[in-house]
Amino acid sequence: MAASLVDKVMKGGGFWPAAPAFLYLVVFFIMPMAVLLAFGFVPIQRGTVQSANFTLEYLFDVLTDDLFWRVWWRSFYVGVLSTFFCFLFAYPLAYIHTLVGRRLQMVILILTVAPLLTSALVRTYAWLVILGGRRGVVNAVLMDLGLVSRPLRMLYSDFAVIVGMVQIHLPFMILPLITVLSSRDRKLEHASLGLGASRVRTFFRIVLPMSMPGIIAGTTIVFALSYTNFIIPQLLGGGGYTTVAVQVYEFIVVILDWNKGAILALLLLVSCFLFVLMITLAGNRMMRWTEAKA
Amino acid sequence: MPIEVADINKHFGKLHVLRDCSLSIRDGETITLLGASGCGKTTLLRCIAGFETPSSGKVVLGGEDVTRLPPNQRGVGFVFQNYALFPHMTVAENLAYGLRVRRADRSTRKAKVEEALALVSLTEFADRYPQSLSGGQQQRVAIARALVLRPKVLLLDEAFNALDAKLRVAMQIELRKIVKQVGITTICVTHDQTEALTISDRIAVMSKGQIDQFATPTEIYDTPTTAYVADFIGAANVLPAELAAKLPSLGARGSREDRMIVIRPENLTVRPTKGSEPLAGTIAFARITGPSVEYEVEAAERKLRVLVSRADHDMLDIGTPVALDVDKADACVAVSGSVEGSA
Repeated sequence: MAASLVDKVMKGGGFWPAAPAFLYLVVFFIMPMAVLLAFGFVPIQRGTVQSANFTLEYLFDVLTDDLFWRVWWRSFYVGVLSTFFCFLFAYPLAYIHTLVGRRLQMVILILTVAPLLTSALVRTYAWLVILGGRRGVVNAVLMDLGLVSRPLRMLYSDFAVIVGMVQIHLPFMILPLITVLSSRDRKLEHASLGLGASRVRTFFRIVLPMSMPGIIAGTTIVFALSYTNFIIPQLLGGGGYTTVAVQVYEFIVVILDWNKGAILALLLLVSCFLFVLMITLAGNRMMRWTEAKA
Repeated sequence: MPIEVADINKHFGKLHVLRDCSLSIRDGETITLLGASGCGKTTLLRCIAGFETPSSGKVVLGGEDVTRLPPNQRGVGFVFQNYALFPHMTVAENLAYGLRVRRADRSTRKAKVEEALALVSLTEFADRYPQSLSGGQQQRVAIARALVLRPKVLLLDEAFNALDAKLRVAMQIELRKIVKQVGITTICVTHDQTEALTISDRIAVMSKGQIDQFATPTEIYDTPTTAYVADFIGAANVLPAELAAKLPSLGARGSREDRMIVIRPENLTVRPTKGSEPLAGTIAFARITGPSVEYEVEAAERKLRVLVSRADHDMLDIGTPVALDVDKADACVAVSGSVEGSA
């Protein structure tokens, strides 16, 4: 019996080879997540479940709280703006990557991937040093050049958080864009120019719509990462800067209110799924042509 | 619109791709640039289209020097090798693209697109995406997309390559009809000699970046000016003049030492022989090609091709000693140059 099960996993077709990974995910990812989310619907005190009575009280509390909506709004616009700026910086770079010679392509690719070799936490700390107080790199340069007389207050603001998010998530936008742009058919651009279109028009009517699969992939990843990021707002936003992710941490680790923490985590997860779904659906509408049979 | 191509040279780095190419094409004429791959034919076409700028020389369209103009200001329609249809637009949108660029209003666009689709008989495919069409249909979309703008000149780059043999001939005839109906000056590029013979009023045979000969298909076949042209169009036996002089009926014609003599296979004859002949050989291979029989004859350390009608000829066995001669001495042409690996 046991031997035949091993056999199925090792050699069998269909679902069987995926069974170990699936089991691992269920036990160590889905079950803990389900337990955590369930905590939002039963009374808990000091880390123990008080009774098995299902209640929507905590969900209701959170949704009627103005504070929650303010915090959610911040998570949302930080996510949207980070994604937007990532796209704005990544697209030209990915486009240039396809125009330059092999050696420069390597340089761009290495510079894009290299930051991923250091931990995001370390890079976030690096931004503290760059943007921070009077002795921060930016302020020191600006003051030495005599451009400002007093150090600018850059840290602990939306600006610092978004700068950090954009830099740290940029590779996830650049890589899918490079993939889709470098596999494009240049003949289509020649055709467009030949039909009388300007370079600008060719870019917006041909290159951009055809890179939609990469745009959707990059946007989805970067938005999901930025919207739910906890470290960057925590460090670069400072003490009073809360996003939904930061609040989850505070409720569960600091205040020990697991009920609200669980509800917030649930709301963050579900809303993130919804946004990703919306981006994908909107993208699919613009990519109906990819479904036409070859 | 007449086209004048004057002394075009093109260098890519150290590579000299085009050497003093000149063509003068009459209004409404269809010509073909024919040559093996790497001979520069596509580069010359791209220079005419404006996708490449020649290193020197001029391109004149209808009296206007367009050498420095970008492709979009030349009034030239281009059909790409793999058609380059926009996959994210329907057939109708593909056709309307160029009209939109020219700010044609909606009703004009609609009328012109419909007219062009009717010309290539694709009216019912207007709302399909190009990927869902067959190769031949895609090609007709590409031609319609170029023609809908009423260009003065139509350029086609290896436009029939992607089609299978049967469809290719049908589309070549189709294109010839469309082009004559619209009356547009057309330049095609191909490496396929039968395609060139089918669609062209005149053919420019190119080799190594030069135009070897620019003439009608009949002239190219009957009176090639270089050994390369003779060999490229149809089969040809290219012999050094002193060897050709040994053929009894040809004699001393064109026996200047620096020249080569082109003899078409159908112009050579064989007869069995026992005695010593001026030019003798043995049958190395024989095959029947319907109404005629083709021999490969080994003579003077060469392989010669001979094509004779079966009607007045008994087939010879392999190994038979034969004497060679020509039918019509007039049909043998003296050319310059040599051919490597001559057929």
